[in-house]
Amino acid sequence: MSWQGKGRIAFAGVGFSPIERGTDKPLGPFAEAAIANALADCGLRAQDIDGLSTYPEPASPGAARREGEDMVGPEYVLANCRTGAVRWYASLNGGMVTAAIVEAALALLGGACNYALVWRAMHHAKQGHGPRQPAAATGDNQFTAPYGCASGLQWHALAYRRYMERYGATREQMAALILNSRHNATLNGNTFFHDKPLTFDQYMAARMISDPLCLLDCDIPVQACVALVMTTAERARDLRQRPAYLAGFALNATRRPPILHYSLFDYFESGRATSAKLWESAGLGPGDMSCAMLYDGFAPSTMYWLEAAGFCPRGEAFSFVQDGRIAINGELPVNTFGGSLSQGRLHGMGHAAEAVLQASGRAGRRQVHDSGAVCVLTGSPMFRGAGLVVTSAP
Amino acid sequence: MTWTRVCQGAAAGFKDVLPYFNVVVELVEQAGIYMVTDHPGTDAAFGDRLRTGAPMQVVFEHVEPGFTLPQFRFPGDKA
Repeated sequence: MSWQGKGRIAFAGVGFSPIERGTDKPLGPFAEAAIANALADCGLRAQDIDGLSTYPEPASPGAARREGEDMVGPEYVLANCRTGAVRWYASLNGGMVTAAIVEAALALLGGACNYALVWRAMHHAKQGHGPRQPAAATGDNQFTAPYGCASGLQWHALAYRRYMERYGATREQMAALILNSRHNATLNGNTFFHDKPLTFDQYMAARMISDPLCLLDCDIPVQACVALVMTTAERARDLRQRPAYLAGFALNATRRPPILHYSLFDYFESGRATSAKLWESAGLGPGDMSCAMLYDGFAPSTMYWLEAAGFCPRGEAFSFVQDGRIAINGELPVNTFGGSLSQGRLHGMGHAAEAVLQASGRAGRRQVHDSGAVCVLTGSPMFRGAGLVVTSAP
Repeated sequence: MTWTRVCQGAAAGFKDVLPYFNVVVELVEQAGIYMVTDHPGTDAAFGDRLRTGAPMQVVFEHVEPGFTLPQFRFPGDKA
């Protein structure tokens, strides 16, 4: 059954901060800049904002949690952004920022607030983020950490190898996705690599991080913030920009298997289940999408989402992305903004922001033809998977 | 079976032993039970033999008194 809120909630404004790396600046002002830009975009004042929602997790597990330094939660925004009398706020964890967007939509629908700010601020300090894992392994980690196999990096690499072995996928094929994202980033000023084109040979020569994952298969960590202003469809009509509308959503609720919860099968199953819920919620299917923003914290995730969401059959994503099919003027444009790979690691907020810009016809040189419906699938399906469908009409 | 050769971004305590292999094996005794192993990434002969379905066998690595880790090696290889 379709979501009863379909078309009733709108995205009214989008704002980016500068995108930097290895900075000694605090994170807070990046969030302030993104929020100010999102407000200016839609013509609202900070006093108009009465709802806040974010996914505030620090960029790295084990990082400190200082408000305005390593993270920006509602506490920082309330203290520094001159918002109005905030009536509702939320800090979401599962489902990344996509879940924070869903939460804001539900709050708006339920009348908890009239104008909600949603943001994702990511820290990338010069001195790094502190220890990635604790020194002692407990729980499930005791079966993996003693072997040095304790982070998303290794789990993604292991699943990717399995995929390559099973379906005969190659790095040469992966290059098509990586180069497509980098090209798109050069058409987008709000990306870290906007002035750094990439060649096939450079991709193939990139150093291995956790073989078969090379450096350029991993997103680029940045310090940045992106903010969205959301409101009801009625209120959005009175604001400056043409709105985009939320048609439906999904959150991954697949049971987490014990210990090795990043097996290839888990990616397949969680991606399939989440996508199926998304299509049901939106009352639309993969054939209705004019473009797709598919998470690429590690590049294979985009391939898994392509298959899970039904854009191509299982095992065929590496063939699907060839020959310009995912280019801006292709059959299914993918990650038109450059993806996390080339825009920067914004944990899905870049994907959501681009869906809004595409659906409202504001993507400039990246604008796809006839962008009636755009899907966003974030997380790497098993880990914090979630989805949105954003449409140009309610 | 699946595997990776970790060259950068090591887990805690493993930075000094880069590069290293991580291999995931499925137990013949019970399908669906997976275990992890590690091995020096400089052992090219080991890497060349990694294939889906290749049989491995358990050995026990005595890391320190009171701490023994099951590891998986190719039959005939020393621990």
